[in-house]
Amino acid sequence: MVISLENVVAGYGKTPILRDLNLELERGQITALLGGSGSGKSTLLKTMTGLLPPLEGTVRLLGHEMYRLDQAERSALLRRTGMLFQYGALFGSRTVFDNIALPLREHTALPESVIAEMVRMKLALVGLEGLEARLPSEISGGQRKRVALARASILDPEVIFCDEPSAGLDPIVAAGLDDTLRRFQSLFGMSLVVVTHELESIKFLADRVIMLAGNAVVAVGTVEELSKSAIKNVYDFFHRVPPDYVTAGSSMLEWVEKQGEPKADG
Amino acid sequence: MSVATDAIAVQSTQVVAPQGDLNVHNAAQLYEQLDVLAGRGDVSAVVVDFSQVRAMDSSAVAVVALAKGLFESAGKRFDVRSLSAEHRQTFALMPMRSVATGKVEASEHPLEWAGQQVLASWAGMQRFLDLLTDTIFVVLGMFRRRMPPKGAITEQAVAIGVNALGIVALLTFLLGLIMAFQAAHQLRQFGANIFVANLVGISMVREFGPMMTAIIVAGRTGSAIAAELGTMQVQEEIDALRAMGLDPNRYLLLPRLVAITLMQPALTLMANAVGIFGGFLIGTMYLDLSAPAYINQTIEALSMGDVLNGLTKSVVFAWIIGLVGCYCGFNIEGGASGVGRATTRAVVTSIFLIIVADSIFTTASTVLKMG
Ligand SMILES: Nc1ncnc2c1ncn2[C@@H]1O[C@H](COP(=O)(O)OP(=O)(O)O)[C@@H](O)[C@H]1O
Ligand SMILES: [Mg+2]
Repeated sequence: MVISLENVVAGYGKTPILRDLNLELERGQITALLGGSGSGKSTLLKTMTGLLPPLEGTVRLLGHEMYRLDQAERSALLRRTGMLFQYGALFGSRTVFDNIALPLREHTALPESVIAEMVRMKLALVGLEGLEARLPSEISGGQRKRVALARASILDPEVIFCDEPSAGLDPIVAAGLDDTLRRFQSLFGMSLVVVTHELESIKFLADRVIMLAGNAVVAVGTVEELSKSAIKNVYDFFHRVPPDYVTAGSSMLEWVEKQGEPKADG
Repeated sequence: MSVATDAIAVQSTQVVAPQGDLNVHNAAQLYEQLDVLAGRGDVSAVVVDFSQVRAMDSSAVAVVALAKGLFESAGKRFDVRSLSAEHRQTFALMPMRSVATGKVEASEHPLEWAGQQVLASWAGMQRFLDLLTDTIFVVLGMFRRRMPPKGAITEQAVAIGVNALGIVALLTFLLGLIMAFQAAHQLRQFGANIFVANLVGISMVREFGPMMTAIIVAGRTGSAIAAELGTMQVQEEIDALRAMGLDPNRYLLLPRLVAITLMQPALTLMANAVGIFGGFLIGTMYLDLSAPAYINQTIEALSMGDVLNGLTKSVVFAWIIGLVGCYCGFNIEGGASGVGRATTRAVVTSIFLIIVADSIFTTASTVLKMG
């Protein structure tokens, strides 16, 4: 088991965002986290990665109750994981090279020459060789995401968490990124937890899908199972039903029409 | 394209009939008119007639929605009529307001507001104390060889100390000049010119050197620390550090704190010297004191205790600037726009605390001396 959540309430301060989380993610699988914007996907991811203590319940990462560990133990555990943030979260004052090399320099005693080679290899894997000396502000958004993925994977972690890896990228680059993630999983046996909105990505990547809506998990299953689901949120997502915010409440027109013209004319 | 309207009295029912286009340019006029009618005691119902309205936009729908709320809360009838198909489509796009009253939300009771402010500052205090304990731990950690990353302290020391040399020197030099000038006017009357050296020397070393340097560093470095860490917080870089198993306090706070603790006394020493030099120039050129006499007088006036007193203060000021800067940066609120606020807050808070700390120091040392 890579991650397990037991009766977890996730949220910020005293504000719960997600309730009743009971999840178990298996090793070597790619799990997609689905849900509308604001449904708590990033919140769940942060709770899983040790960045956001749950308000209630227990979170186990690689068999350890992460939030019970002391700082040194937690740090050791987190070295076995990688996180790709929604906006990359590269260190703006450091070059691409230094960003990717940071975990190696901090957590290992490898000589610089080995570090340089490892960075070069990981950059090649995400298709960005030759950008080592650039600052994050000097590369495009898509390139930043890929550099962030190289950084997240530099210690060959057992699990990588990805927050919307392909959001805002053009379809070709997005497909390339999905492909890289797939390869991480098949070549290195990594487990991946991927937040994504892209139906294409989900079909290509996900072994298992967890769907969030209305402060809770509404469905868990394979892509095939979920695409046959009759649960409203799930059905709407897989069949691209647009939400109708106006008819969900009532429109001004209803009131206008209720007034009955003849009477007003009198 | 003004809203020409006829208000025809039908008993106590008023008909308002806007003409032409009804859009963001003239919707306000319609709203004002309806607002007045809603408040009039002799009007019990209003009908808005759309028959002469050509195109309308969402501002018109908003006005109708607001007016409906106004009239309903005043217990009056409000209707619209003669809508064309296009008008209806525009109405169909806009959701109904969930609350029928004109007010958006009941405003907060002042006591409630005050209570929340107290709670907020209490929470802020707790976070600051947390930061303080964390700081003590990372500083103690240095003795267990949990060092900040290589090169980080030097990098910070250059940013905080070396790059501030010029501005600190210039300002404290001018301060020395001004002090000497002011003192000269007074002391001359008593033929006590030579005591300018005492006045400039002691005030510089005990008060103005440490204080002026601290204020400049607060403005330069305190703000820079808050802005830098705040930006990192907004861009999730600090979370990224945590996710890598790195301690942001050791990685970001410690190098800054160590660097400022080393640089502040050094800058203060230089400020003292430059300020005294400013006084020296006035003394020798304007008051006709001889250079050796001025220097001797300064050396005699100053004790080692004065210098140490000033330097001790400068270390305390350094910690105030460093910790307040880090606190404001780490606890930024409201995304990118919060960076500016955090920066201002860091500067204002640290200058305030510096002056408070300085007055405590001065009072304490005066009391100790007398006792
Ligand atoms: N730092 C925070 N403090 C308080 N509430 C937050 C914070 N970050 C996000 N939220 C709230 O949590 C909810 C879920 O946010 P998030 O997990 O970012 O959604 P998603 O990633 O699915 O778009 C949102 O309603 C958001 O307003
Ligand atoms: Mg998100």
